[in-house]
Amino acid sequence: MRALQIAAWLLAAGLLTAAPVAAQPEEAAAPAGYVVGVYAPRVYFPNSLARTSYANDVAARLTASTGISFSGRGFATRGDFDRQIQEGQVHFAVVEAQLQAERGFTALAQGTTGGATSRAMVLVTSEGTGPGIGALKGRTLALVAVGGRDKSFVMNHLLQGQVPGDWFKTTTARDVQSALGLVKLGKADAAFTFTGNTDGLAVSFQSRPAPLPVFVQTAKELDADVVSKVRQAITGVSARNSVFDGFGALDGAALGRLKRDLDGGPRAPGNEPVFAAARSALPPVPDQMERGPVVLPTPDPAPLMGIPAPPADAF
Amino acid sequence: MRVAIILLCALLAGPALGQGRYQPQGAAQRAYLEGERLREAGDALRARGKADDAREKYSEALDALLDAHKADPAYIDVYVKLGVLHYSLARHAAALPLLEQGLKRAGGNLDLRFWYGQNLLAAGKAEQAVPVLEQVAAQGAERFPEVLVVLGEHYYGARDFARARPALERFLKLDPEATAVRAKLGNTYFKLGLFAEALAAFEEVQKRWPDNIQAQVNIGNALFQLGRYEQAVAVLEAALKREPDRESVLFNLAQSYFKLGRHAEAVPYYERFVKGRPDSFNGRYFYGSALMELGRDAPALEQLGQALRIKADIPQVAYKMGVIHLRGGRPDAAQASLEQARKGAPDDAWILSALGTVARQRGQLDVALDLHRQAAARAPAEARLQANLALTALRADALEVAAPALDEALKLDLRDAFVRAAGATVLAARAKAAAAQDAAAADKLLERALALQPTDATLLADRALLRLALDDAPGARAAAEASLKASPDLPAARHALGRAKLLAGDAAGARGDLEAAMQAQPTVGTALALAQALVDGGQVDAAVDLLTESARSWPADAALRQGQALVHYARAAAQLAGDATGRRTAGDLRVALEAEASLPREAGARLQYAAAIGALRRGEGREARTHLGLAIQKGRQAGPGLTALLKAGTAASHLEYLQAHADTLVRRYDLALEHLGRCQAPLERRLCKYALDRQAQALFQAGDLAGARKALEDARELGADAGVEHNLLVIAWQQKKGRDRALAAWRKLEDQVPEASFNVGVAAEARGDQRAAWEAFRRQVAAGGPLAARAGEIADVKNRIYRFEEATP
Repeated sequence: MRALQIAAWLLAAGLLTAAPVAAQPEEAAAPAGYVVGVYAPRVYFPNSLARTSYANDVAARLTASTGISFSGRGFATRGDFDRQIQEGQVHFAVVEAQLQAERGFTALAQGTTGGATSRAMVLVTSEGTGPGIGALKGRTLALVAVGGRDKSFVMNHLLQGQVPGDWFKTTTARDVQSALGLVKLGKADAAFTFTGNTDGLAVSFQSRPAPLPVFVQTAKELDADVVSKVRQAITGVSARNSVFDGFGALDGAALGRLKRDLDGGPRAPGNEPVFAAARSALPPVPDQMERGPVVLPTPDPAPLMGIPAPPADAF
Repeated sequence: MRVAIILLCALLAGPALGQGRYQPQGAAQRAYLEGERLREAGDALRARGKADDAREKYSEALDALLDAHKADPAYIDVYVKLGVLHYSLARHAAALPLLEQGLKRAGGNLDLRFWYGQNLLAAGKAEQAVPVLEQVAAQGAERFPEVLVVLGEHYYGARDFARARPALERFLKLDPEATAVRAKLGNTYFKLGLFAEALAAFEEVQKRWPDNIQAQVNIGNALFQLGRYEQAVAVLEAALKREPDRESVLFNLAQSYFKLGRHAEAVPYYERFVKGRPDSFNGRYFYGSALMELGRDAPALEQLGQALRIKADIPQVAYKMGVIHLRGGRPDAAQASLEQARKGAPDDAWILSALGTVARQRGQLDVALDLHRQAAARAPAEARLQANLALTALRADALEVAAPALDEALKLDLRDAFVRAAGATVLAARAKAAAAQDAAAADKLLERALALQPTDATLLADRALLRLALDDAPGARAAAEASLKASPDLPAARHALGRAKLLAGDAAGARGDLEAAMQAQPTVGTALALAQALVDGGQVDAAVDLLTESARSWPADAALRQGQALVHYARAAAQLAGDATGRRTAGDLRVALEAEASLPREAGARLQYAAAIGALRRGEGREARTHLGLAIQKGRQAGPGLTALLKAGTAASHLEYLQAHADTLVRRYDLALEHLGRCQAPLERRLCKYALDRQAQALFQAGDLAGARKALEDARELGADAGVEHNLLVIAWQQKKGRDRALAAWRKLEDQVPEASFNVGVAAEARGDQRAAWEAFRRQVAAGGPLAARAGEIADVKNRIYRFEEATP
């Protein structure tokens, strides 16, 4: 029974069909006009169809808002996504904030949930694992493959540099549903997922809110008018998935913080001592001037002098 | 006269006959005697007033003498008697050939020549007669004195008064009692303008003919001509009582009153005169002139207009009409009349001057100046014209023209009221112009003006102001008081009196006068003087308010801006001691600094110093450095240097200390420490410590750990300090030195150094003691230390990772 359940789950997660699906992009229809891709591995989609459906939903809403023809395209792997971008087949995309930070795509909007542009992630563990991260020392973390700095994302951004880099062993998962599957299958001990997507697993740790995926321009040379219309339209688009329900303005501060955490690889744990602020007070400033007499300018006599009126004309 | 001459000559003819110089024929002798008898009978009849009967006898006598002439043509006496009878019967032309025959026979006979001349003259042949008669007068005036009368009468009638005079005078020598001849001589003198001689002659006549009205009139006229108007009035008034309608008396009496300036008394006589002589130009002209002098412009214009109609070519009439229009404020009419006058007398200086005055009234100053110049050039001896030129030049701001013209006017007539008044005006203007550059020179000019108008309030006030400029407070006060006596509300005098009191140290008294002056006539000078009185009286706030308000009225006045700067500085300087933050005095100093460039250097140095102190107290290091630099510079320029302006006993390093303070505020700790040197005095030690602490922090942040350590070690030498010890450990930590000691050391310092608990957390964390670290960070949070937020975040994440709170009982 349990095996059946697992198989069904894996089927739903697309793990069992990952290889054939990865060979072809998830297209619902032939591309028409501009293409909006969806590559957000940390967002839980039950299957590829759901991801494609979500991509089409976003595209349709943009089309409706702008009058420009958009089509949606879901990507399960970064390889297909990168290739199609390189080929100019994808013009806009919904990507993980980490990927935007790494690749420098032009961000136009950010995913929002309940108005917020970030959402906490939780470290879920398989049954029998002890409480807290302390219990996970030397255990395997299923790391969702997003970009080149996935470990920095976890160690620096989610764990805020408080855990040594060698605390976990890691294994890579194509997306969050795969990572959760690995934990459930016992092939990994823990994985990070956005809150609300724990799928019955025990929560060992909740991070501070992490930035939600962003809507980016992936094609470089686009009609400025089109970009402008998209930028304007996307912030009003409501398109729900398991993590966020629409798009809003970018949270520059959070994205900046994320970028800093990604830079330089996983940090060594620990903090630096601070230099105590100088607290000596400035001494007073004495006034030593002798007060001189105040001598105002002496009035010039000329302006005050009068002239007697000339005599009346005499002849 | 004709009768007298005939009688006289008849008498004279007798002795010639009786002398027996010629023996005539008998018939001739008889006819001659008959003729003589008849002529004498005619004389007797005429003497009785029977002129016709006399003429009949003369005619019979003429017939008898013609018979005598026929009987003996060589009988010369007959010719003489024929000349007499022809003359008596007015048969002058008939007499002439007979007398010429006689003269051929006896050319040297004076009788014949006399009667020949007489008949020639009577026959209208004056040119032939006068030489004949002059010869008679020259050869025999004693025998024929009447020839002098004849000649005198002839010359008088011919208006040749110069020749009439000696003839008449010679006659009167021969016959002093000839009153009628003396009266004629008086008239001759009068005609010749010899009024004193005329007066004497008329007075002689009056002695002999006391009741002669003509003599009285002539005496009055002569007195008038001699300028003895009072006497003339008395004589003519008396004459007028005797003959109320005598025109010459009316006119001369009016003229005498006119000349005496008694125009009102002259007017009725003129009026009576023109009533009788409505076409008299002189009557109308002088009548109009008298009315003009009385200011009765309308009737004056009427009379002058009448005069102009009688004689249109007399320019004085139009001139006077122009003057009346001019003073009546009718420049157009004035110009028209004056231009008319100018046509008659293009070079008349007075007309030109009046035209200039018209131009001046119209504001055409160039034209006016030109006309007044022309007038003065044409009549350079007329003081009023020179004075008028000076007034116009003054109005045209041409003092270089006004000054010499006025000097000339005063030289010509120092008594003329117009000239004196003009002089006071021009000299006062010159004094005013000179005052700014040379008060002493201005004072001299003003003294000249006051010599002309000694009680003029304006001039006295000017003198007071100049005395103030010359630091003569008593003189200024006296002049101001004299001015106020003459004009109690004169603002300039009130101003001067206030300042004189101020100079004498009476600020309270000065304030009253200056406030009154300010109220009556606000000026920058009065505002400044009143502000000085307020400052001297300790009311600096009121002085500031006054000058602030005044600056709204005179925003561009440099002296006012300077005064404003000084009072604002004075207020700031007074408050600086109690202004620890420099905020309270900032406003005053800012206003003062706006006009700092205009202040004397010493005052500028004081102000910049105060501004530097204020800026330092406000923590504005850059401004403080600038002000301090300027204070030192200006102090040096003022002479003794800025230190000489400081209080006695001020440390020599005071200015260095201030500079170090400013350097510290701009974070130039190196310069500050350089200024402070060995950091010996207590304040300097404190500032050194402050600078070293900040320098260490800055160097640490810049990554210069060695430099930071050196600064901290220097700071430690100035006294023990937990912060210094704490930070030396931080540097050591960074240099990976003594990390093992750091935890305990920072733990000890937690009570003294707020950051210490954070660093304890860091040190514990480094040891792998996450719980100790978590607790230390929590202490930082609990103490509300400077790193509480960051510590709280770290503690939170540590807790979420390691679940310390769940494990904590």
